[in-house]
Amino acid sequence: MDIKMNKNVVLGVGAVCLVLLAMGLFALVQQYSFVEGVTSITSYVPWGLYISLFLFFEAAGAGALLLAAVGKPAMVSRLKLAVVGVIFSACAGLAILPDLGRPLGMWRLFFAPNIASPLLLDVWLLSATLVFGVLLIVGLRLAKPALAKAASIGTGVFAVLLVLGTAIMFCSIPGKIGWESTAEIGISLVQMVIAGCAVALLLDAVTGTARNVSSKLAGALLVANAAIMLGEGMLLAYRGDFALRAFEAVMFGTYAWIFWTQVVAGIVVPAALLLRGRGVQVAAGLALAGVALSKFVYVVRGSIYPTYGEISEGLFIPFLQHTSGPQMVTAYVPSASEFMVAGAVIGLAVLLSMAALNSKLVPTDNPAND
Amino acid sequence: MTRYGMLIDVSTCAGCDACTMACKYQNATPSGMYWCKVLKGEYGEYPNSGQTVLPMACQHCQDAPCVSACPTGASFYDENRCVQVDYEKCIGCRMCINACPYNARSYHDVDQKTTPYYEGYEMTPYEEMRAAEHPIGVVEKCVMCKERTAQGEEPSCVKTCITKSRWFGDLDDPTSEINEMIKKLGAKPLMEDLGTEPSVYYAGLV
Repeated sequence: MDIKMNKNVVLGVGAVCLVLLAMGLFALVQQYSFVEGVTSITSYVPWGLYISLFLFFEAAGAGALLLAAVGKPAMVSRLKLAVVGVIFSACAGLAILPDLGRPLGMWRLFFAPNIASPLLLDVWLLSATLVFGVLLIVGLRLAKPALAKAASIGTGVFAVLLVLGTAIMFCSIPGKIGWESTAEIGISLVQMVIAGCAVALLLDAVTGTARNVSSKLAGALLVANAAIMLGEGMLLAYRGDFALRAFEAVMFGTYAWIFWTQVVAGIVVPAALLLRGRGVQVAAGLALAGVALSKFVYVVRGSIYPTYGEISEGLFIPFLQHTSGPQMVTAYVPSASEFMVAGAVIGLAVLLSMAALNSKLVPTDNPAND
Repeated sequence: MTRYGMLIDVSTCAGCDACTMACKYQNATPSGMYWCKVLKGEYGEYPNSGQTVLPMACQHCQDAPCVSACPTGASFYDENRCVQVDYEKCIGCRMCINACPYNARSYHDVDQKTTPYYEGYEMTPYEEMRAAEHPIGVVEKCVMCKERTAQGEEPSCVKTCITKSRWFGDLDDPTSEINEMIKKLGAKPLMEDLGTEPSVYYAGLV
């Protein structure tokens, strides 16, 4: 190890992460004992916290890798971003595993897939992003410019394609029209860069450097994110069609407090701070949390106003309670086990990032060497 | 080529749920899981109001979103163009549940042995035997009673319907009774505009 951070902080954060991992493993054992109520997933809300976590790590990982790929100055800063980007992207894949009923069968996704499935966009693009990300780390660490350049191109292209592919997959699912809005493609791509900037700003704070990312760029992207959401909201007022009613449901249904917290604490406040250049690290943390909340809101949006709700007016679905307003399906509240498993994935991401940044993989940051 | 389909006349359906129970008995689905459901609702305002029922199950679409969305090919069309699930290939990702516009699929994530019907209940040997037909961690749905239809019988829900509101037959046979009744009743599939080409037709929808 080549500890560059405060040792007490490393030990403290490491201990917390290990506790989170232990709790997550315990919850995972519970989950795979298939006891009723261990997860809140139902046939009406088939995707929840784990998919939200996947989307969050995907955005943060791809964003960090994109910045690492396009960044010109500061080899060490790029290397740090690439390392964290690869770890976060890998954790995105890991977040999916506990969501599978039979995770041992996932080899089929690689060796016996149905190539018509849009889900494979995620699988293959994530794999390609990880491969190019690792090559970028090798190129940067061993100071091989040709390899670093080629890997940068591959990493940048696949990082964007990964987020784009996921957004397209969601938009293509006919059973959940709440995911249909194409505005989400723009939001996903903008959030990817926001998350990448936020990771870079936090890395700068943790490792005591500040070069690679303009906080004003991050602030401007948050404004762009808000503008696309506003545009989607205005379409609601003019069109009021089926797909947009799902957006209305998250704005005014059970999840409204999460939606508005995300807007205020995850977009407005950090944008104001970043554009004024004050409290940059706090703003970066808030922006990252805002992206995470936004992903959760997006995932549940597909289920709370589903396509089958339009089959016939006045019908109700057995076992479901109607809620007031536009929301049709009872709110999904992740179970304690789901939170514990999600916490373990986050803990693992932080632990691996910290270990990598304090290892010989990332040399001591000396601007004179860059 | 055979294409099995079904016709449901909602105007004569009594909403008795006999089809739901017949399906459950035939297929021994786990507790809380119903491949065949009868949705119920109300429409209008008093005095111009009424009740409506809608029997729902897999629509066995000919351009099924679940089949194309399944990443492992676990969902497939059988020789009678009915959509089936190969449990061996299913990894329980639930992409198909999201893809199905009719919410016809169920996720089996509860072990019947550890979660009995009620506290203290012990499964009978028959129940244990049938439970083995339903592996945990996979997605299930109506199979159009493939064991029955293979022997030339009607699906259980059709056979049981007390008001004879269901018809079963070959949609590719222009002379079949089901095709005649579809024409006679002016039946249409649900949410036709999605282009999924369901094999289940409905007549008498409110």
